[in-house]
Amino acid sequence: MLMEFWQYAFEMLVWPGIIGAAALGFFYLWIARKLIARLQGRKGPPFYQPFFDFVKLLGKDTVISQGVSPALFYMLPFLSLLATGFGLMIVPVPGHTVGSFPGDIVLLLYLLEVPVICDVMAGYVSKSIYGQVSAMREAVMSLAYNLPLLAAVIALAQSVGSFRISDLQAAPYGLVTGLAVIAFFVAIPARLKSNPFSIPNAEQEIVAGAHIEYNSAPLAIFELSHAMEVVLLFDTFFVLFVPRLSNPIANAVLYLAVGLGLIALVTLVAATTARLTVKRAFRFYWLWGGLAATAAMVVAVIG
Amino acid sequence: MGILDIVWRNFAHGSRTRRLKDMPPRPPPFRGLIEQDVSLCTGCRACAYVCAPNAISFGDAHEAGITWNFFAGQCSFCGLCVQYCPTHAITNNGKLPPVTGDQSKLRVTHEILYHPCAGCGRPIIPIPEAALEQVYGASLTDLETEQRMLCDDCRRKAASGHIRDAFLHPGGKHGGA
Repeated sequence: MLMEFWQYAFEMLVWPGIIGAAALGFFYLWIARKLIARLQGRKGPPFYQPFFDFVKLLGKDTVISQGVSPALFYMLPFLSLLATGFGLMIVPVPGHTVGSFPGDIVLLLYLLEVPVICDVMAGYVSKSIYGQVSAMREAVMSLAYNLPLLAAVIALAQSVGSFRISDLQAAPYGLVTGLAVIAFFVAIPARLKSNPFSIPNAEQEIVAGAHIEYNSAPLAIFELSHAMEVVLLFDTFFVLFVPRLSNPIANAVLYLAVGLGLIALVTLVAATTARLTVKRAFRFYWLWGGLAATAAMVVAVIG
Repeated sequence: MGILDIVWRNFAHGSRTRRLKDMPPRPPPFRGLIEQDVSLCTGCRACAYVCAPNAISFGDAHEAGITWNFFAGQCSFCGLCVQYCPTHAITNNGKLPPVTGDQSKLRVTHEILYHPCAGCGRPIIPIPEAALEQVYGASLTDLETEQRMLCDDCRRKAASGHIRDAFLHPGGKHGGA
């Protein structure tokens, strides 16, 4: 019993939980920043920059705007962090020891959505017009990209006949998987709020949005949570669509390669596109993402 | 897909960020007092015109020439006179003005003398040879040297004379080219 507790604590705090995911997430964010800098002919930051940004924010004084509830102000970043931490705990990435249980993919999808809801609420409680515009945009975007994202997973689950990650992972490849990969991949830039879907955190229009009134440690926790979200999203992609290798080292290498490939692709898309309007982004997801997802669903039900 | 070409070229080219050592050299922070070479001055008054603190002024014209006055006590060492002098008669020497209670040591007065026009004898300030060389090239021809000492009217007359000669005597004295 005690042994099991320590095992869960390790999973939650070290790997694949908070510390490991934070390090990996900061690394991914650095790759994105460095690559986008090189694609724009700039030099880019050194690899420890995201970590230094985090530490610097931790050392600052917290200022809470007048009329903002301090409890809510402090709670939201931690809620976001905790949800991401629990999500990381249940994804069977390399080095993961906690077993799979029925319906864990549903729980994972819910936990993936909690940071978004926290962001939306952070925007609304900030009492800033920019934060509120950002919150509105983020809520709309969440509706938009969740259609292909959820439909891709549901189609996959339908074809396998199970909502258990280990079953989905063991499923053979087919047309459903291919269509689901497309639908899922299309949703990634919006989920990470990178171009052309950097609509909720648009720097030039709404001063980077929902976190505008956040500062110091709460903002640092939000940033940490965002880094971990990147890892969690890539983990989800990895366990759903990438075959598991029997050799643990090869599996770990494959895991890293998939993460790096995804962040490189997302960065390339971000560097070569301009921000869309909310309306166009919504139409894109509900039309093309919806088409891919519907096709996956149809194939899953028929086949 | 032009944007893909652009990002690929950026990626292959590497960072364009300039380092500190790539910065262009900075001029010395203090320019110092100005010096005027009277032989290059044409009395155009551009220096007095751009001098914000009125450190440079021209005296009243008299029969022999024009007086150029500089008072270091009013100079802000901005260097605009050096920049705008068309014949480069004014330069900075990098020196500090003398520390003194005697204002006369801070004043410089130059006489820019008139020369008689080679044609009509009217007093003129001829364009310095160095300035002409800058405009026309390294060495001056006889024609240019000769016209240097003429007043505006005589120079115009001489120029029309040359054009007329070129028409009347093609290949003759000065024309034909």
